[in-house]
Amino acid sequence: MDIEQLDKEPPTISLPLVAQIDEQFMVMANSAPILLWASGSDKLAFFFNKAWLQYTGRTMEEEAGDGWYEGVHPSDLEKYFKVYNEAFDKKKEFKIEYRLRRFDGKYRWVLDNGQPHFTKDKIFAGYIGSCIDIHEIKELEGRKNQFITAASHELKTPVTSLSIYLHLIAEFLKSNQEEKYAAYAESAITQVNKITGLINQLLDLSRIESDSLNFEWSVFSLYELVNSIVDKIQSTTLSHKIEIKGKCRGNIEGDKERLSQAIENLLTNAIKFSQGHNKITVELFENTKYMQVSIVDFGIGIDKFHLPKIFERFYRIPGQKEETFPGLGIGLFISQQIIKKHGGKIWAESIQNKETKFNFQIPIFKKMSD
Amino acid sequence: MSRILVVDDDIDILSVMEILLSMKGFDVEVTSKGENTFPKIDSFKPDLILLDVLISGHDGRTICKQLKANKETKHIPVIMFSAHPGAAATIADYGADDFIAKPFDVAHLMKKVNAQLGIKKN
Repeated sequence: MDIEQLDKEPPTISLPLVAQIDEQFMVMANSAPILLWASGSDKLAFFFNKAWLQYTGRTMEEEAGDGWYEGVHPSDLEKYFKVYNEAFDKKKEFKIEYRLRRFDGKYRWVLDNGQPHFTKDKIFAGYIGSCIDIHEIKELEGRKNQFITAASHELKTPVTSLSIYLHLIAEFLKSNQEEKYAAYAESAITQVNKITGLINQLLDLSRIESDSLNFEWSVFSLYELVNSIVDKIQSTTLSHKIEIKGKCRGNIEGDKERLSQAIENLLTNAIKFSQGHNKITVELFENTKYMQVSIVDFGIGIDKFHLPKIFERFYRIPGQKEETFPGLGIGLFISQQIIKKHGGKIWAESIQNKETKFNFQIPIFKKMSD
Repeated sequence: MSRILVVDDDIDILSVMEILLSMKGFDVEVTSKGENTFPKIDSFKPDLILLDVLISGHDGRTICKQLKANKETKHIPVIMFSAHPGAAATIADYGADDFIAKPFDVAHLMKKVNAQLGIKKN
């Protein structure tokens, strides 16, 4: 289930209180083609519009209070309560996808957007929500993910054979002192490895979207992990010197492979977008709650307009210069998902043509006895 | 010379694995059919089995479980491989000794093969 809780200030517009829902509001709500609901400050629903009642095939009396929960798919109900209650306590907007039973008994995916509403005196009065049926979109997304998984799988087998054949050719050429042609074969292997990386990125994307990206948790030193990744990337990079500043002493709990993937992605991006420069800095910092890693390059930078969007899947910064850089536009999205799974956050700061800093924070691992 | 049996329904993988492992000095036999695994083991007596997770009509993991439940074959190390990296999490329950995700590079494969044969020699 895809859930997003938005971190926005509550709107200050005044909407009618439970007892004061006027006729104008009712006419408007009942003529709307989307599903609308309203709840009071006691968390319980007191209003459903005509479209909702037609969709569920139930009466206002049946749906009112907590009656409408009967129509929510049992597997989605707990998640709904969690998101609704958390949003309610903070009086914030929320968005959630869940399956709702239609009049014909079939469960269909809906996207529910709840907005807190307040009286003229800014007293919290509950929520007004709107739902749209996204079942077809979800099904298409599912099919797309299945296709990506199947296509990636089908691509991997020939890539495996290709890689082994190239390895055999390279070994043969080396043993016959054909150094020049052996180097060509090695270059071909490097390209095959790039194809493998792209296939894996597509697979990861479909796994994230179907919430099936696997994580294997262990406790380890983030400082040591960052050092080993920097050594690895440095060994394949002649253009830049990667310098580590600072140190983290504590441990984190995470998936080493996945976290390496995120850090490697940030480092290779830093190199890719700072051609003509020769330095990358990796800054480490920790306090009692979290460890922070910042990867700094001194390349083309990112316009502040694009900064909030760069972690969106498929987002590629438009522009003559930017479009010349290769990539699928999913690396940062995958990195963000990995960091989020670690209970952390990732963000970017940039001054165009001067400096770009990608930062992420991960909570420090604390033993139960601490 | 150590003997390695490779079981995979993809003929291209089988031929390249046969060439590679032969060049690396192993005695190699291959089969593309899951049902041939046990007859091949009987006749070839491998020291190591490389077994694909999904073989047309067969689940390699079930074959692995049968191998490990049989006193004649349970000592033979089995490395499973798959293009589905998620399969790695599922193989331990079937008694496989190791897993390698496709596509693999030769160095990585040889490291795992040698480790399993080394363990057996000890």
